[in-house]
Amino acid sequence: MSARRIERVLVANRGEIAVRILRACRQLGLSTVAVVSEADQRSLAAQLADQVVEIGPAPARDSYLRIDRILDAARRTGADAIHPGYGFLAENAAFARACADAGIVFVGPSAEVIDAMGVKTQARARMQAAGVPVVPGALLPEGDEEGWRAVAAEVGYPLLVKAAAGGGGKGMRAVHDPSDLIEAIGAARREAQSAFGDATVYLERLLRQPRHVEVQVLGDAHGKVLHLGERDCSIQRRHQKVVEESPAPHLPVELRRRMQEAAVRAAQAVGYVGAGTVEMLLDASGSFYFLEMNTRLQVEHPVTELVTGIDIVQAQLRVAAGEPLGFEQEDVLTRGHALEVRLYAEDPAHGFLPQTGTLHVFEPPSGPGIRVDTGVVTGSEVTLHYDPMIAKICAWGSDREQARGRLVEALRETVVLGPTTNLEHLLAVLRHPAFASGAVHTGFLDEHLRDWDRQASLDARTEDVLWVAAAAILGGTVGAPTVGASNADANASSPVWAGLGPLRLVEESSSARAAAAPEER
Amino acid sequence: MELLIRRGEQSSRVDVVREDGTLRITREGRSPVHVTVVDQDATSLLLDIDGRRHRVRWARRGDDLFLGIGGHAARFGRVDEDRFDEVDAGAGSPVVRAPMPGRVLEILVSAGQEVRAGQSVARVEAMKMEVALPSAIDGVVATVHVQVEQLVQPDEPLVTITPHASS
Repeated sequence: MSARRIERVLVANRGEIAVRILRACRQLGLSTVAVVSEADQRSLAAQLADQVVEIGPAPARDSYLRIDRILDAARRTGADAIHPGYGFLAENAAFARACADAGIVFVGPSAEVIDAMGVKTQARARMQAAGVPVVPGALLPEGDEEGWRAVAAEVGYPLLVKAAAGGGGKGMRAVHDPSDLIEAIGAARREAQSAFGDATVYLERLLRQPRHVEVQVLGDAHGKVLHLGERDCSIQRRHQKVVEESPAPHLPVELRRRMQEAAVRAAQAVGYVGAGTVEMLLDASGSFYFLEMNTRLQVEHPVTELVTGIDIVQAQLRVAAGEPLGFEQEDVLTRGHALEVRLYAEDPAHGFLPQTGTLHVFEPPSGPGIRVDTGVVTGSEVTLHYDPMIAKICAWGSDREQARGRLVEALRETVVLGPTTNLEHLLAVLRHPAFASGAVHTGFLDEHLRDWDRQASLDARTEDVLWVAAAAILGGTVGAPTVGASNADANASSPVWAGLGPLRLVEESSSARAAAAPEER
Repeated sequence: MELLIRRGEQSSRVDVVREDGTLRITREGRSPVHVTVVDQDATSLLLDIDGRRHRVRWARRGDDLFLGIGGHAARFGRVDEDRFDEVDAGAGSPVVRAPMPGRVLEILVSAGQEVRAGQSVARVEAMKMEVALPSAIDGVVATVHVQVEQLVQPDEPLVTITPHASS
């Protein structure tokens, strides 16, 4: 692939990752275009971009997943590259192909590589061929239950039934007892069909209390593939990551090296170009296995950036422009330790159900070693249309304990008034002695925090202070003198640049208007 | 002045009396506390409570008062006395409310039906997650306020139950 000068990048995403990518583009002197749904017209991302194109109503399927409208926006604004972020169309091979056909650079690997790693059963096969160990597993043969039982017996119990076209923990069923096998397969197939449009499932051994360790890789278009160290993302709730860190704690030097080398081999096996992550499971015996490869930027990339000093998004843009990676593996050094937590509008007391509402006051933390990635500000709305992430809060320290202490303090200083958040739950995790000692594994929350109670996390004194403050305010003795007062106007303070708005608003195209015509719905 | 203040699903009676520049605040069942508002601005209060200082973040929107301190956040509000008999801290509310914004999937009871504490009365769905909502008390279903497919907001009443005399 020859070098291709990129001058204008369209960011096909929203929220904190859109802000992240836009910043990297601006830092490189590139011109930027944000595509937004109607709900995101006044978002932070929209305010950072040079141009904004509205591509449809709030629901993702009517906006951020509309390949046609996104490509149309790129054509009309003269964007020569599209960065898909994570989620949405980031691992959609058809989108990558459509960009290529339109002569627009897709910031990511080729459609063929996305396909190769996207179908999990194929990815496993390619990895095995490349000498990368995979979790013991097998494809489910078509048709008969007898055949299924036989395959399951070979894979061994306990096992997982997983969707071949899936990922991110969706469409999975655990089976501990052979008598539950057939029903689990049926249920998993139905879920896979409904979630991914493909009922194909496969079986995989369920490892006991494994650690989730993933390696960040970076490949250029000239055949070089490097790794940027590993991350440990073992603390998960229902396969959703809660805490991520780099480097992985207590990893013997030799094991770390073998995992990193395996990841590079995996990426080389598919001729990987761009930033990607090879996810692995590490069991207590020190054996590791390929789980899946994510052919995109990951949510938790900041912890790698903090310990390596490498800007992964800038690297993605350079690689996409055909530049060779200007450094070697021995130049990648990690220093200190970084931890990240994801602050969500969700209620741990009610099954972590997503919450909605206005962020009446949102003040992220700051200070030495603190990094916050967010797409919202005070006054932003959290809606059900999108993932309710408020911010990613990271701390770097010269060692893990310093990073942990900094992150705990940062969370204590974080203010979110409005929707309920998981902040107290995150503090409970970080403060837990098992976490402090680095004893992380994927069953951590079940083992240590299953009975965690939000009320119990509030000491009596803090509880009293809150009640006293409430009484003082509601008793009419504090705040605006009028009845039913609110401090709404004062709380509507926006950052200085909020009044600027986007510099050029591009009108919705006639083809987008026609596509939205009521008779087509 | 006596206020009825709600916090989440609980309510408490609180007495607030102004006494030479401080407020004497007595929450039911507790000793009085003396508080002075040392400083305030649009989003924070500096309170002196019995000699110790605390900075509390606040935001007031209509009936809701949001407060935050040290990473903890809570939502308070004044309760309209007309609704007080619904809310009895500790005994369980006779009104089953939606815990989140979503869609009613199924109503599992009808008016006149006997229910026991813990028995599911409705199922609500949001963002592809489902939750079954239980009655907090033993009683008889008095009213079903919603229908299937209806979109509901947090705290919106779904089913009201008349408690049995003994509960």
